[in-house]
Amino acid sequence: MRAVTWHGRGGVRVETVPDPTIQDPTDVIVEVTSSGICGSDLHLIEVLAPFMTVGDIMGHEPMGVVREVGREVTAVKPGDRVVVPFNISCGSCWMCEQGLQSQCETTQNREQGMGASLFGYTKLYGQVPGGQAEYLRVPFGNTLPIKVPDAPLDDRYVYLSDVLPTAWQAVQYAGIPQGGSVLVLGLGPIGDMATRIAKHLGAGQVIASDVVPERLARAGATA
Amino acid sequence: MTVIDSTDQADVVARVRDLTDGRGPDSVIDAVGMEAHGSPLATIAQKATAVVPDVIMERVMTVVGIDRLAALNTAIEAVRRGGTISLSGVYGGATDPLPLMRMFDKQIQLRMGQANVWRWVPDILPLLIDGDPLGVDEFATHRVPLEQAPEAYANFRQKKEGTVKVLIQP
Ligand SMILES: [Zn+2]
Ligand SMILES: [Zn+2]
Repeated sequence: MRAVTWHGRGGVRVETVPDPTIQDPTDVIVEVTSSGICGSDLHLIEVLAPFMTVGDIMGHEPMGVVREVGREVTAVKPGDRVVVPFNISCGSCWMCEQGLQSQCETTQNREQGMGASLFGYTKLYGQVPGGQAEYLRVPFGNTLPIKVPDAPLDDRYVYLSDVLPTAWQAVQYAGIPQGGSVLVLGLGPIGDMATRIAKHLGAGQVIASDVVPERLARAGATA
Repeated sequence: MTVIDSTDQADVVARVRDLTDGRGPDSVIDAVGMEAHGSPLATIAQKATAVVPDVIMERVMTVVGIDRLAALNTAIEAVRRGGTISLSGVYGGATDPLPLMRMFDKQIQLRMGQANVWRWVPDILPLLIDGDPLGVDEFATHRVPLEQAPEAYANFRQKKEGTVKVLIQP
């Protein structure tokens, strides 16, 4: 298959790599139809470069169609449309049951002293092949993929992988009183989405700042 | 919604005070950590000095670190007394000094951490099925085939061509 791969601080390349295969009976193989590029992907070709290996497959914001399932997978079947969360969580450990999937005790990277594994995100987080590729192996097929309806376009659902829950959690953790005020610093994808979610959840006054004129204009336009 | 150019961080604090009866907002979300430039995982870098080339460590400790703290300090100054700061995205900073006296005196609450995706899916997914109240259908600024990913990365990195969000569509 073709995949976006890491090649040092110069940037990424698109290369032909082996197709992923079912390795555990709860794995599924997803044919990727959309996959976001995240601000944190840029860290991999900048400050986190020492934790990457040439050829690592990038990406942690994918969605697509299930093509193959391991013999113990019952929750999804070939043809199902799914979004894949960026954190790899088992869905059944103590942390997952608390709603702390980023601290999943099944996939925690203890030797690195870090939390749950992530798709396409360095040795610190498990060096798991990412989703900017034609196909992706997804573990925990019964609990990790998010089944979504067949319509409309991918744009509607793909952000469930990272942008929407990250911005939603940021707003929830901000504890904005009903009708209260919030300042959002930074209008990249997360900040932009956080302003929309804050308004949706009842903030009375939303103020946002950035240094990039296009981003200020974009956020001002959705007001 | 009010948008403010934050080239001058001190100006942001003053403008926001004016907009909030002189108190500052109830809450501040610091989403700068998710931005491309900056936000090294400084704690990690600290633990990993053996494998991190000096040139990168230097960048982590100087240029990038300063940017990061500027946003966080703006959050600490801007938030009202007794308010809450929410940090999204990747933050480190084992060595970054925080103004704890100021934070304690202002009685600031601070929450952070990587998103727990499945914690929020049951809240978010129904919104997407009913319609598009958050404007996700038009959220991407660019959609590119897999083969064009390298150019899309380069544009995103340099914030060129209005690149905010790119979807690769294999
Ligand atoms: Zn992301
Ligand atoms: Zn778990």
